[in-house]
Amino acid sequence: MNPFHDWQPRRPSPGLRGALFGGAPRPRAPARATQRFWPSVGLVLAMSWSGTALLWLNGDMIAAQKPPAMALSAALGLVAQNSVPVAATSFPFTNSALTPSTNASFSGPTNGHP
Amino acid sequence: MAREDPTSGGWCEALYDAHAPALLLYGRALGLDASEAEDVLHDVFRALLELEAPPDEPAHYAIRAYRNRAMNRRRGFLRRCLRERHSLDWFETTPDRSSEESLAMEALAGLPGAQREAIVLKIWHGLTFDEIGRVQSVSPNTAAGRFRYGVAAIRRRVGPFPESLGNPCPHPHP
Repeated sequence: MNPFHDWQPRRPSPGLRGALFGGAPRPRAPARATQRFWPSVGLVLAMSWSGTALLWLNGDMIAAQKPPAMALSAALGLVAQNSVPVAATSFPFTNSALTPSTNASFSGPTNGHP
Repeated sequence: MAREDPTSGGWCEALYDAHAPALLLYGRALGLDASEAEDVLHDVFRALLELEAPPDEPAHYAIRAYRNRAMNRRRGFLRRCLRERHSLDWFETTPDRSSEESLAMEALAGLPGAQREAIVLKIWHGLTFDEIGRVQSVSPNTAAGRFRYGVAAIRRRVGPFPESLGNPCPHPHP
């Protein structure tokens, strides 16, 4: 006599018997909750990993762009600190050829004036 | 067993009807999940159907064949990690299942594998300790010890066995 008399082992799926002795195709057991759960965890982990990798790559690219940006800002800072007379050296009106002369002679018509 | 008609597979069908639920339970005790236990059951009976003649002791042969296949299946590390141990679905659901019974089922599932196996083979397959020892490749005394330790562990977990559980170990020796 089975002492655990109420404990009847679970019977196999009905389709299994038919598959073995009736020639029917064997139905697959439905996936359990955890079997559906673990692939989801795998997907989340894969997405997290790829997200981290993208962030890392992006950070690397930002770092790669930093030196030229720093060089530019440093150069601008140098210009500001030394007060280089940029306008004085490059402004066209500082050219001596265009400076009004004080003793220039005028030989054109004078409209009757001396 | 229907040895007089070895080619029809009738003996195999009778064996299935008599032992399939207990073999499924055995698979769960060996650490397989529900679908794996059914897969192994399917494989074992497919192999039995291909035999030209029934073995001498078909029930014992099926137990050994089931164990070998279950052990091979258990070896996958990932499978072991992902395997769930739902003790309550090892048995048919009954509306009047007491909390002690549920606790005892959980305790059974939580036993070390060898003790779990000995208990299932003793109670649900009706094997003697000598036969269990041969299946587990240990002496009958070791098999009996595994059974007793397992039952004692369940008893510790549940407390004094309620009337509904009976006495699982009235005569510990075969």
